[in-house]
Amino acid sequence: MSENSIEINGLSRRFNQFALQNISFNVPKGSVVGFIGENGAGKSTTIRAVLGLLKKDSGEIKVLGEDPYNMKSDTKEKIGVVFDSIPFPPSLTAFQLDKVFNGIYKSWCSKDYFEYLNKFGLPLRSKLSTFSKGMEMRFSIAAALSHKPELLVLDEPTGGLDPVMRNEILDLLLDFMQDEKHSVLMSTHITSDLEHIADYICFIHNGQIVFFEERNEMIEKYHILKCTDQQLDAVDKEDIIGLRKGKFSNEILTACSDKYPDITADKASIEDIMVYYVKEA
Amino acid sequence: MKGLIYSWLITRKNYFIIGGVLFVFACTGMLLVLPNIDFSENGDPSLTLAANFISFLLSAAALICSAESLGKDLEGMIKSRFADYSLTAGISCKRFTDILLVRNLICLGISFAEGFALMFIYLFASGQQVTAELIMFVPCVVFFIHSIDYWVTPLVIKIKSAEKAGLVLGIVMGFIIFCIVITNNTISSDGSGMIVFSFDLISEIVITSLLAASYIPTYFICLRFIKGGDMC
Repeated sequence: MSENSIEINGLSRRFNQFALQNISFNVPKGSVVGFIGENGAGKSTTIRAVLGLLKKDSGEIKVLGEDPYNMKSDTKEKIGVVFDSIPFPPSLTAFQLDKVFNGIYKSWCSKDYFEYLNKFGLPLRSKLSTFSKGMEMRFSIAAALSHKPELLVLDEPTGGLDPVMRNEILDLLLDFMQDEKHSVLMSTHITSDLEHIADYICFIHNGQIVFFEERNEMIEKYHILKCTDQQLDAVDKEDIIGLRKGKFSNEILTACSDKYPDITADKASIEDIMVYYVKEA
Repeated sequence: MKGLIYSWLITRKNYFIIGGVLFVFACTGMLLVLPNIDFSENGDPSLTLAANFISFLLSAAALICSAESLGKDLEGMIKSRFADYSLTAGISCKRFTDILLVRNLICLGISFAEGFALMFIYLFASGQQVTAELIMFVPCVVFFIHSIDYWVTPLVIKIKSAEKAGLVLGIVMGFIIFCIVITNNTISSDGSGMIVFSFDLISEIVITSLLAASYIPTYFICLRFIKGGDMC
């Protein structure tokens, strides 16, 4: 039995003006992987390939030990999916959708579903078209959690939400992770959401994986050096991941800050790392 | 499968209601008006023509309401990503293709029931003779309407738009039908104002069989497109 919920090896897919190139990373069991990248980097495309919704040109994907393109329906039921927008007919109500889900999932639990709806303060008899963005997202998560998944795949679940709502959703994911058998793959470009929840960070840029690292190690590893022009000249070019030149000082993102004890170093946030990598690219 | 069929029935219940109302309206109208019209050679041809035309129009409207918007439903599923959600939720590509077919067949069944009822009421109210050609006309028309609706399905999957798919198919079908009608003088009017369809029984059986058989390649084209991914 694999130690990973998701294994991606050399995934490639070419489109007209974009390509996923040699994507490789894993989602270990019992962990949260934050999948970050700017808009158009390839996060949603990768997730669609993981869910078997997109044909790949090459590479191998295993989700819960199976090929997503030929997955047994019992295994599919163990995957909860949350898209960035609500994927249900807008004219239906939450109450009607219970019957729909009951007819789709063998493991559907109406009791859990109604409990989540009650906990999230969602109305049963109002059409989904009347829901706000926050309500839609909470509903999607309620639906994803109500068939007892082992793996949650979320594609930009917090986009367009206010900080209070985003925090609520992240708390829900932390509750889900109480069971160590559960795993989460969450794509987002709001990196601050991952500061407290993610175990691993996978960064994609222009269809290629830039890095896949453990979050704690990442935060200890990357620093921003604030230096003068003279100090900048003394820094080995190989150690510079990203550079921001200012009028009076310069900022360097580096993973080798201990080589330069005389230069002021601040810990880099996930957002800083992403921005510097993208600028350098 | 039950879940998706249920959601489809709920979302299009208004079309069923409208189709049902039109059906009742057509039946009632025919029973009230047609017995008062003289369909013999001595009758007023314009009145006869008007009565036939309106009966045909109302019947077609009732049948089309049963078929309408299957393509639109699929477009809605694709644009809302409900199709993607269903495929990730344990519904296989084959099962999804089956569901699209089942929807069409449910509407086909309803149209058959309505079509035969309308035909028999028309014949009873107008006092016209029941012929095999007229009876066979019902499955011919029903399969014509619903097979076109089914042929649109793979186009909607590819183009992601029911209107564009319908337009493409409509242009092709319209051209073919125009050629057949004009070159074979298939529809004409006799002196009494009756609309005469020049199909014989064999032609109707052949056309109906071909239309029914067209479901098979359409099904496999749908399945191929769905298995190709990138639905939404």
